[in-house]
Amino acid sequence: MDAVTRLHRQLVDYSNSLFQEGILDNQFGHLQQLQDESNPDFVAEVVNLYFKDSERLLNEITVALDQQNVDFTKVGGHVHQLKGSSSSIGAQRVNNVCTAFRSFCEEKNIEGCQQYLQHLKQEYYLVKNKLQTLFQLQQQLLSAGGSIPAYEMR
Amino acid sequence: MSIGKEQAETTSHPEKLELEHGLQLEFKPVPVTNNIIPQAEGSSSSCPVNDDVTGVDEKKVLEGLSVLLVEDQAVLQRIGIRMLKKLGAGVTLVKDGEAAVEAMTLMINAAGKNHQIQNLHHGSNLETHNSPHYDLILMDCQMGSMDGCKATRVIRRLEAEAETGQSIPIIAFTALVTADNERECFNSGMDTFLNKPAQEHLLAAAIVETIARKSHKFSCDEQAEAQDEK
Repeated sequence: MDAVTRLHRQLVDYSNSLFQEGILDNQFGHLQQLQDESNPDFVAEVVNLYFKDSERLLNEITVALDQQNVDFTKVGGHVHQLKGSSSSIGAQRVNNVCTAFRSFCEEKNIEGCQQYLQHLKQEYYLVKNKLQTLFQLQQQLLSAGGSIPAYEMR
Repeated sequence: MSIGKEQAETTSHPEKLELEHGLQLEFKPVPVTNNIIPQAEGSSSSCPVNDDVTGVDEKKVLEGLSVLLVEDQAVLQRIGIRMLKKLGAGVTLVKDGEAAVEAMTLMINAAGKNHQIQNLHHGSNLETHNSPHYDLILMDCQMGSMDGCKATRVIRRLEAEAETGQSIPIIAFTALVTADNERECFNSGMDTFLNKPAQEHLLAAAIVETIARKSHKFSCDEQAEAQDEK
């Protein structure tokens, strides 16, 4: 098996596993369909914006929950923003944790919020790690002379 | 008045709507789980939009349209702009409700001046140059100090005060899909409620349907006024 075929198969298998594990959903596929010759780095650009924005929001949530008098409306606002951007790039598990977290904000449940913040951080760093690996595999395939397979909608 | 879920369920037959540039949309009855909910003002030709849009080249279906995108988050700005441009629309991005109001103030003022000049010159068709013009606003709901609903209320008030009869189509584009938020959006004067994230074809369908519905209502209102004046 030549290098391109091997790398291609590796990428497809890895990509499929992310969908099967529910880490990514169809929305990520829609993002890939927005990429073309005129916007060749669209997915990477959006995902990098997502990483930057998410880390800022997670930090703000952490600081807000550390206050003497927690402003649950502010926390809920940050969680809502993180949910919005996560659902827009297809980060399904992060999106789901945000939905549950938002309920704790509405209930002004501090323990629930703190617990779910940890859960949210875990899921976020997991999807970040997975996406960075996906991009590395894509880059290896391109460097070997292959092309990134078109995403098939599920 | 909202079309409501009850009306959506009882709409029984598909309708074809002939739009400008020869575009056609076929509307079919949709279940209540559809994530596009139009604000219908008693217009018999308006129906909830099914995501099965037939007979339309969705690639550039928004060609020639100018959309004001109101969105505060960088990720969503990037995706929104890309989707709209891919669909052929011109896009102007503003980052909060205040900026949306400023942009619309310029447009409403320019339209107001043109209206006055036309009245003075008995209907002559003078064009105003270099005035901003938008065909539709795609409005995020949850934003900073002035959210989408508040911005919409201000825009509707400015339109009413200008007395040109214009009412720009506004779509609430939101990830907060609750009955309360939907009600607030319609009460503030928005025309359609669209769930975020939306796929291209749903976004296109919502934009085309909202513009068509508003323009149909506008021409019905003009005809009604002409009748009253007789």
